[in-house]
Amino acid sequence: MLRRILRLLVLLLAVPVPAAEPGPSAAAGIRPAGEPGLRFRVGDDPRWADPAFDDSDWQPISGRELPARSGIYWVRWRLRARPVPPLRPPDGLLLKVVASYDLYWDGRLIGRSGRVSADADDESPGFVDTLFQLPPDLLGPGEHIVALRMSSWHTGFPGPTYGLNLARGNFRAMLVERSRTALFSVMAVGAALVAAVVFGLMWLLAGRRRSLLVCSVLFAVVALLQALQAWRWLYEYPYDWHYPRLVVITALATALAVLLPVFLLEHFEIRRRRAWALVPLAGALVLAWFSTPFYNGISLFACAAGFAVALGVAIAAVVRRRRGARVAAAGLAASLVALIAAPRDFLDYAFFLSAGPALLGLLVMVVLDLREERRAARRMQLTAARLETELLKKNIQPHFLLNTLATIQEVIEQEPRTAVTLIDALAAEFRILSRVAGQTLIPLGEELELCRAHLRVMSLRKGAVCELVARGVDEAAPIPPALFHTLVENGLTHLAPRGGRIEFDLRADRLAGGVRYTLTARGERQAAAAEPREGTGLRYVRARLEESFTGAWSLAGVPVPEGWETMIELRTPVAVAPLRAAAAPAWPQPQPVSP
Amino acid sequence: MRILIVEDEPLLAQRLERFCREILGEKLESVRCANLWAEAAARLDESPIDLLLLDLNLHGRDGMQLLAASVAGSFHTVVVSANTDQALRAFEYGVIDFVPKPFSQERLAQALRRVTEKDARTAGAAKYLAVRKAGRVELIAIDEIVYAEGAGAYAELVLADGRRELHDKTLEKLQTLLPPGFERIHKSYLVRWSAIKALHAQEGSRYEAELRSGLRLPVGRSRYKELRALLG
Repeated sequence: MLRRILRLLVLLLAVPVPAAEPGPSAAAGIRPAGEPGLRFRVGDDPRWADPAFDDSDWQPISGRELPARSGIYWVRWRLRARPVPPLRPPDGLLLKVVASYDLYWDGRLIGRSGRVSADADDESPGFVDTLFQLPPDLLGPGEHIVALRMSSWHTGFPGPTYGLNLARGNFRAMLVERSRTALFSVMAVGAALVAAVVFGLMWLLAGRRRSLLVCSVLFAVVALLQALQAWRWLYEYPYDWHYPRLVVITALATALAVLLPVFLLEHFEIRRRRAWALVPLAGALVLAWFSTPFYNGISLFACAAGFAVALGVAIAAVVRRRRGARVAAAGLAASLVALIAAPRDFLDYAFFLSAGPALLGLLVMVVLDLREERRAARRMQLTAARLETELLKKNIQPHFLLNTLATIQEVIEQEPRTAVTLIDALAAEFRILSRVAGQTLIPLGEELELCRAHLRVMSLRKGAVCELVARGVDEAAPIPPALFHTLVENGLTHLAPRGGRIEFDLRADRLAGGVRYTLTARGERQAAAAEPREGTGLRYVRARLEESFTGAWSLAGVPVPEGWETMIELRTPVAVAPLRAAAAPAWPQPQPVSP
Repeated sequence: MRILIVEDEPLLAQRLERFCREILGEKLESVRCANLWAEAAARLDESPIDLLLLDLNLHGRDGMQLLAASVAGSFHTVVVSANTDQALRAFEYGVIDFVPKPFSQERLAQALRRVTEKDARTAGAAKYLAVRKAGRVELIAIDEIVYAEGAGAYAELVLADGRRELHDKTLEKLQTLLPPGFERIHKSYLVRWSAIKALHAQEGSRYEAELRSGLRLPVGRSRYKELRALLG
């Protein structure tokens, strides 16, 4: 019962598609299908071409009931011609049929398509579409008799019967129309090919994102599909190729129906509910292939199912507020409506028109995404540049450098040997700084070196012992440059020496999938500055952490009896990754994160 | 002169102290050094000073509050700092000089001259005067001040709206800080020149200045002729 309903549904969709498989009629003209007076007889007799022959005892049939693979048979029917218009006489006759035949008009042999034979091996297949020109002397008003001597040994269609499609019109006009029919398909091939290549290259060059590959394949399928459509109009082919061509086209349409939702699922990164979309789609596609013998119908049904499921995915993405989801949904909805409202000729020139909005929507969506990515990348670049500048500025800015110079002035005059030591320490700090400034991550060992150089300068300036002790740290672990250096600077600003010392103690504790650094600064907390405000130093630390450990870090500071304690947790397993000194390119580069 | 140096780097404090001794010689009564303004400020009542050499990071709210607290005092303040970009702001608050780090003895001497020399004046960049009020410091815009009246070790500021505020500095120190538009008309009065409407000679060689508000203030006999000439 269910199967019958579904079958009915499929047929409903397929109804306006010409039942005769070799495509729709191209020109306004006479369609033998349903034409009264189409008569059929198995056998072979040259007298049957004669218009005067009495075929009243022949079997009346419809245009889609011709028997496949049944030796030689004849078909005859009568045409009534209107008075001939002088400018465009109806001297063209287009036959679309998967058989070899001889065409007689009023008893005269007009043309042959292939070689008709009673023997399968002897038959040579003619072209599927053949356009004949009728001699002017046969175009007079009144009744004309068309007779076809046919054999169809090479018809690949599995059914026992096949159809015949005939159109009559002006020969030249029909020639022009055939090339015009190919126009949309050819345009579509070009556009889809370009899109496929562009997305393929983007996939190759830009991080191998799977959605880009799926998109490239999708457009390649569209290009192939359209190329196969256009083939019929641009190059004649023997009728035994017609069946395999239709099978491939239908397979491609089915692939398209699968690729559309898969691409959207990939693009919008909807992973968990994937089965919700793909299982019903698979069911619909299997149904499509088994419920109708007409390939046009299968393609139409498959594409409709693909559009509908893709639309569902796009709507789910709209609900999730994904970028470009509205455009994709709008395009898919437009295509679905176009497909259902005008399913006729879908596989020929209409495909591009009805699938166009959906494909355009997808393109816009991808481009929107790429634009956002470019912006994000630009932001990252700017952030990196800004942070580098900030790092350098922090150190060549008045407070540190000018104070140090003032101290140097004093020691030069008072104890020149100390001045040399101080200048050496300052130079060492700046050498390390210039080495690490342009990088996003440096090994912890190098950072500690920077801190110690700074502490040597400050020891001389403060007249106190300023020291850093590191315990349990992995010196190869990557951290942003001047991270602890900044915290040490802050500590020195807010602490006064206790017993002639300011000490810093750095401890690393491994956490599940991360590491926690605890920096304890020991000294006399100065009453006026007990709580360090969120100054430029801490802002720099936060920006650097966000740049390299986006969303996977935390920073906290608390006063402790001995001074101040700062904790930094990095929840990326960076401590595990082995690092070589100054091997910047090998380090994990931050990736833009989609919201 | 009594000097307090607030500088948390011992070598720089030592340098400032050494220079002060060399520049002032006999004139230097005492010099003290402190790490932080907060700890030094507490002891100012028992051992008053004439000049504060203040190392200050003026960035942030803390720095400006500290500066306001120091310029509200009875002494002059010279900021010695590396943050030269904050110099203008410091002058607006009424410091007598801003010595950028690193500094030479000559530069410090120039700053000290502004404090010691009679009739020395700053560039007139001050825009505010800080007054102490019930434990906090309030900034008075100099534009609002009509005249200042000396009251011993203090000065009373009279504002355009008639309010009177007590300032910790002497009239002499105020005169150094205030812009050139203020004239000393009497040993006890420092008046905004543009506020004077007319000068009057009274019987018995008494002179008075009539302000635009109608108020009359005494004018020193020695100042009258000069002021008369100035008024034209």
